[in-house]
Amino acid sequence: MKAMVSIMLLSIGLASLHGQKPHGLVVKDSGKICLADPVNETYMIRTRNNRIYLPLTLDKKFRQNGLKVTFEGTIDTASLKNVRLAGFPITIEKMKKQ
Amino acid sequence: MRSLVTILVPALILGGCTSRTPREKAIKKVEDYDQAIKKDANSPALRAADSTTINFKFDSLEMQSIPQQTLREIADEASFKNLLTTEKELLSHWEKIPGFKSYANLQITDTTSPVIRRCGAFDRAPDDAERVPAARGMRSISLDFYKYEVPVAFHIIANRKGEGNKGDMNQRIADQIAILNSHYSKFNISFKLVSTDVTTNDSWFNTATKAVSLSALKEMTKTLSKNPEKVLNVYTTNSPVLGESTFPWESDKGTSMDYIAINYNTLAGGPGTFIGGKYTGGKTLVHEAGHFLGLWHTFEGGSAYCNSTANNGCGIGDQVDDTPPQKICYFDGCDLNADSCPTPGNDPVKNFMGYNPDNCMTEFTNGQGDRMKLTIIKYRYYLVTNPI
Repeated sequence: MKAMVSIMLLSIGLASLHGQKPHGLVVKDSGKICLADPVNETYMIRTRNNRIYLPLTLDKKFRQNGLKVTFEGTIDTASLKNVRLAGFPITIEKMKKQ
Repeated sequence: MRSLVTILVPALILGGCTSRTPREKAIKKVEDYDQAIKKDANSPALRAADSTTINFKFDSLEMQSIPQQTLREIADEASFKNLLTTEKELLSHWEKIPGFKSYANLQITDTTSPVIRRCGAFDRAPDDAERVPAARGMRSISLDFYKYEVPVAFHIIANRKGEGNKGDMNQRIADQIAILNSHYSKFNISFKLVSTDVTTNDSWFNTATKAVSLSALKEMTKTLSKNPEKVLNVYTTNSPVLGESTFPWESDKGTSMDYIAINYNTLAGGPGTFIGGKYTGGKTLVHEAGHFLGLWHTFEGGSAYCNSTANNGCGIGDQVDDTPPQKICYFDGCDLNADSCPTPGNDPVKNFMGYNPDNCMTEFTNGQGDRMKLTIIKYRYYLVTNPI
């Protein structure tokens, strides 16, 4: 039993090392919140290395233009084959003000 | 004198019998080419050969050139139509590559299935995609013969505040159709607006996209779709992705889920306030129409997350030979010197099938045009206006 648990934990550890979940790519990064569309109040995150993420949901307290944050989330890569993007749509799982 | 006449008259008669008119010469070329293709297409040895041999053989069968004028003159000839039929049948033989699972680790032996291919490049695709040939070295007569028209039904989705339907949407849609036509006309592909409707629905406006809510998307398309087996249905919403589309080889083809959805701000004449005004030129629908007609991203290569190290775009890319390999996508700027792959050629940042901002996107290549035309013949033949 102990061995089985060890194998399972090892597998989980390996999976997280590669940053892959069954349905997407795990991202851990930091960046600045930017207002993308003032009319519909949508925001994007621009990171220091100029990657752009589009949070599919963003808590109200983080909706501030220029706010610096660290975040963790998942990109559903399977749904991005035949699209045009302005940034990567990301489901935010954790976010903190810097 | 009499002896001269005796010699000349039979010579003239004989000469007249043996020399062919340009029309007759063209018909002969068409018949010879048709027979050559059929012979090789039916050859068990060639069907069993490896893909390099098949490609080499069919590359060598390129038909001798016929002036465009003469080509038009013989368009109604039975032999010409026979050749078009042969090419159409051959195109339908392009199939999935058995055992092929990803772009990486491709084994040439995977491609030894009995299919006929006439292109110079390995036309490799993921196992969930049908293949169409890449364009290198291949000119089939079909490419220059057919004309295509895409009927378009626009569905404007707005929220209860009216967002999504403010301003002169009819003018923006007319401008958008004109932009599509200006970039596709060189491939004999045109777009024609057939209807426009407006629906107010907050849920569809905000969530009807694969990235957010597949159920809302299905509900919207099922409710509004018009003749998807013949018509391109375009939805404008507030999607977080700029645009999304259906590939022609997907099982959704011809159903209500055969569609294009774009963020309404990206329609021609969009506001400068949306993402810094980078997407006001109507290029998103040009890009998505490319997907609808079978084009991949120029940085295609196994991972849509284009900055991922898993990306293999330098190796195989978009399966079009005249778009240089590109490994990463660009959301900003228009750096003509960008070169993400060691293979020859800078990244095609000006290509419509990349992610650069609208003011950078200006071109399709001839290879992409050929790929779209062949895709239409194979998968969306209903768009052909002069079918055989």
